[in-house]
Amino acid sequence: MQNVIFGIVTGSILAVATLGFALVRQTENFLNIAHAQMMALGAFIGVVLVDTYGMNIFLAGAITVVGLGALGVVLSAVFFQPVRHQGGTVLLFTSIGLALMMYAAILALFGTQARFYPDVSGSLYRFAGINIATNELVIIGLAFGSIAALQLFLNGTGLGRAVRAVASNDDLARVRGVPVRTVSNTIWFISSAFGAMAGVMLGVLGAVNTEIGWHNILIVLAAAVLGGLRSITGVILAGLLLGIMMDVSALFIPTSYRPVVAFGVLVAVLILRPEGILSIQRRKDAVVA
Amino acid sequence: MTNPIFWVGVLTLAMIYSSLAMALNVESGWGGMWDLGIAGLLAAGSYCYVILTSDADLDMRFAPELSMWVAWPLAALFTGLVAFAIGAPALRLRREYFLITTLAFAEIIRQLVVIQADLTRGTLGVPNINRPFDSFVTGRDYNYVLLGIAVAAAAVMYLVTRQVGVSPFGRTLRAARDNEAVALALGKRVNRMRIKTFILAGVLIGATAPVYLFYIRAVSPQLFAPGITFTVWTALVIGGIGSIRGGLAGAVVLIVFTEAVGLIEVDPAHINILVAIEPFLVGLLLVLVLRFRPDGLFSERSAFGAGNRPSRDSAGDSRPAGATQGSGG
Amino acid sequence: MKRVLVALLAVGLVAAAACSGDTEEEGPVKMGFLNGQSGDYGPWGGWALAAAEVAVEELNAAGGVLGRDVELIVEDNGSTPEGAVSGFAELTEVDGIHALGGIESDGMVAIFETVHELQIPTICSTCGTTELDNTGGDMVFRIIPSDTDNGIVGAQVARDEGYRSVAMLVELSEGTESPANVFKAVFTEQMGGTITEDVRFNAGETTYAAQVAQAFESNPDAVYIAAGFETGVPLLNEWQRRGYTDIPMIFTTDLLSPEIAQIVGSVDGASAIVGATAYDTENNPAWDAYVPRFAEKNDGDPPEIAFYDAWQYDQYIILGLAMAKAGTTDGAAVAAAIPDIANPPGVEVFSYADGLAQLDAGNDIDYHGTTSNLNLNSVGNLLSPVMAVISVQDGDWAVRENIELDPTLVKPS
Repeated sequence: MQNVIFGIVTGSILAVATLGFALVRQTENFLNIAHAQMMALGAFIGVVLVDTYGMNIFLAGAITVVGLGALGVVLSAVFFQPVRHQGGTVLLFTSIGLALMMYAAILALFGTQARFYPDVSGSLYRFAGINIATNELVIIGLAFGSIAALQLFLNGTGLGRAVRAVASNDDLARVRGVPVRTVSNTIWFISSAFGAMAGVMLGVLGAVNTEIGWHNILIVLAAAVLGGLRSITGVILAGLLLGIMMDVSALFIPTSYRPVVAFGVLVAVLILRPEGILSIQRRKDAVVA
Repeated sequence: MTNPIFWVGVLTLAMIYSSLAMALNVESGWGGMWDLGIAGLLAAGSYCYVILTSDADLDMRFAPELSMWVAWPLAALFTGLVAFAIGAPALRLRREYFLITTLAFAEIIRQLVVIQADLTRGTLGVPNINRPFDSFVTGRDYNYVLLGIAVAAAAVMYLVTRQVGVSPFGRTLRAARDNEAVALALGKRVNRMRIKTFILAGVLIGATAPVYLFYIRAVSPQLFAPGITFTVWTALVIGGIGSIRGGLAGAVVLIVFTEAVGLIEVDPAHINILVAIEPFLVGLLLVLVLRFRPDGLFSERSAFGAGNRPSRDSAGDSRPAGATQGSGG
Repeated sequence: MKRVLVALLAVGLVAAAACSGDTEEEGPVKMGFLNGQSGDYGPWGGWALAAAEVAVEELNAAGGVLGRDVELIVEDNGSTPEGAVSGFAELTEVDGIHALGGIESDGMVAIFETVHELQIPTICSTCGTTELDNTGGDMVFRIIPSDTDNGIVGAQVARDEGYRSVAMLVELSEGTESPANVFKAVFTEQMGGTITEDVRFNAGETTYAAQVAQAFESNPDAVYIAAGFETGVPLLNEWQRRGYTDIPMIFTTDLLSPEIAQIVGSVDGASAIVGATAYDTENNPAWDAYVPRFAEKNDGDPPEIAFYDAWQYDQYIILGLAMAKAGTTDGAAVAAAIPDIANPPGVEVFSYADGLAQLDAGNDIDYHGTTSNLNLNSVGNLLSPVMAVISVQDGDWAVRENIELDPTLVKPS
């Protein structure tokens, strides 16, 4: 049972990270490899604000999330807009180029020494034989709060509906006069902000080092694909499930097999249910007819 | 003060990456199968070669001490088998789904190498890779021999992949990539063709693996992290996906560029800058090439002539994986 | 294709033309420093480089080596074997280094043969790999204890503390698995101890909560942790948060970082000891002279007893003295001189300047470094590594006692 709690914490962070990634995939139609470097940047800026400038963790987190959201908009305008008409292939590899440049910026700005958030774990609550720390509760709460806020935004505001229109059919949305540019900027802001938030959460639980982005891109990619590329709820569930699965599997098999299990299950799920875990209608584009 | 040996080494590495990029081009450029599992196939070929040839006193559970000339083709065949094992289930999938599945298999292979330590020596790795002709030529001079081997391997790879590219098989492969429905309607057995292509790529990558080991001279699981897959892909993208020479040219440009950047001298006081220069410039190179030559240095159209391939506007999004709309299944 | 080949040929010719004669016996003496400044070893890179710079400054302050300036040439291998191979090629073929230091285990194994072919005297200051247990001594010398020694001393500490059952938490990497495997073999086979749980994990996981729980809840007398300090911090945060703090821990040397000491030190009654490592801090003039200079390099804020850094210093002092002894930078001669200046007989010296003075006076020397007496055996390993039991006292690592390896404990086959 304790491991399920661990898994929910892991999974919440993964869900937040993957959501930002999946949003761009759904609206801009490419896999944005640079997303993981946005997470790394978030972890670093957060730790600098907290550790070096003594800022409160929540204030630092908020500044990081908003600041990197804005940076995401700028980067998309500089790097992705000019090649947007070239299609997903060119965008995908442009994002790899951008990821390398962001990685270089992190190395140059922050150096290679590992950094740690001062212990912000808070007190431990115990009930019914399991225990959970304050920061884990906060992470779970923030993750679900921000996901809920995103859902409200997408379903309850005009701009949000425009985003969904673009996600379901870019051309149609354009014809209908949806402000495509504004929508695109909104998407990049949200995506980058979610990436940054996941980065800060990762940093709070673990260590901050320059490789953190590369270490996390595979699992984000996996969660995004597992969740089905078109379903936000699917992505959230996939993130949670992957997290829980990795932590619960420790009880049954040697922990060294943990990554093998994660990827093995991923492969199995994809082959058995190629449309992702949630979608009811088999999606034709996922599998050869 | 620059010794030619340094550039001989750089060119050797460039030829190795060229070979890998050309093999990748067959499956991904022409076959439209976006394979992110190069590292896994390379690991399979490398460990097959190493296990078959290594000295028995290295305490590996299975050490037949075969001649490298026997082990080399066996490594290629074994990698083809591994490719078949991966491809059989994975080729049912398209686009991102195929991409993530191959990536997952590559990670699984690497983790298995780590865990199966009595067979592979795990994270400890295996030193002293057997290299051809090293009893005749030793020391610095061996670098020229190695360059010769790498150039020969790349030349063979070029001839083989070119033959595949211009053959009826290659034409059908590209046609099926661009419009699967039409190919099926014409009675082409597309799936069978794709699995053959995937196995071929596996054999070619497996055949390159020993050359890579001759260069590194030792093998360990961390050689096969996903980074190497991305380097091969970057080389192919710079050179031009789908063209015949793209992989060759792209890898030469990328590797020579990377190593030349490494020659920039920076005061150790600014070590942060020193380590950042290389990823920054490689990233910038990739971004700029895609911005101003989105087809890469050599385009597919220039390789096969206009008309063989739909024009850019419709072609831009027709690549199966990573792209937007698919060919329609 | 033809054009590409022509271009290749042209590059080769230009490169060949650019090659001028070797300026072997003039110009600065070039010490190579090939090390993971980025990538997975990156977090250690800054301290390692600072230590190397302290040494080179000392060499130059004493008038250089063979009357020539000493230049430290830094190359990042990105913490990969491929980076080590191409970085070594650049150092030898482009920069023309005379000696090499700084490299880690996996890179060392990859360039081992080439080092011998090119006759580059190499001191391995960060590689514990068991691969070097019997293969060095001609061109490659190791001045830190082998992972074999680290594993044995861990078991010895466990025995002396009276632990009969131990759970293991081991990161899956060469540097952490090697000592852990030796520990496990010695502890179970030669001491009759039991392993309650052997948990292996990868670096870079989001959290280590599940692994920590698995190890600590198997009711062991103690938990043996072999991990890098980056994974160690989140791991110990878990340990503290979940309240496993009454179970004592045995660490490998990679966890000797100030962050770890802080976490352990913040818990009343917690016990963490590190067997092994070879800081020779008692009555050692070399160590006393080194510490303030290293602190200054780190802006007065050095890691307390950091790991490996002092070896990065020792290696260049050894290389400088060996060149002075050999009277040349010729690789074979320098390599042959390394055991001469490191081993008795000779006047014991603790700095480059003292060693140089004794050599000039025609005396043999026995250099005693910051980390040990640096006496080497015939396969280029430390003859008798000084081992220490280090524990957390007042939130800092402190040496509790120096011990010798129990000779009855043997390397497991």
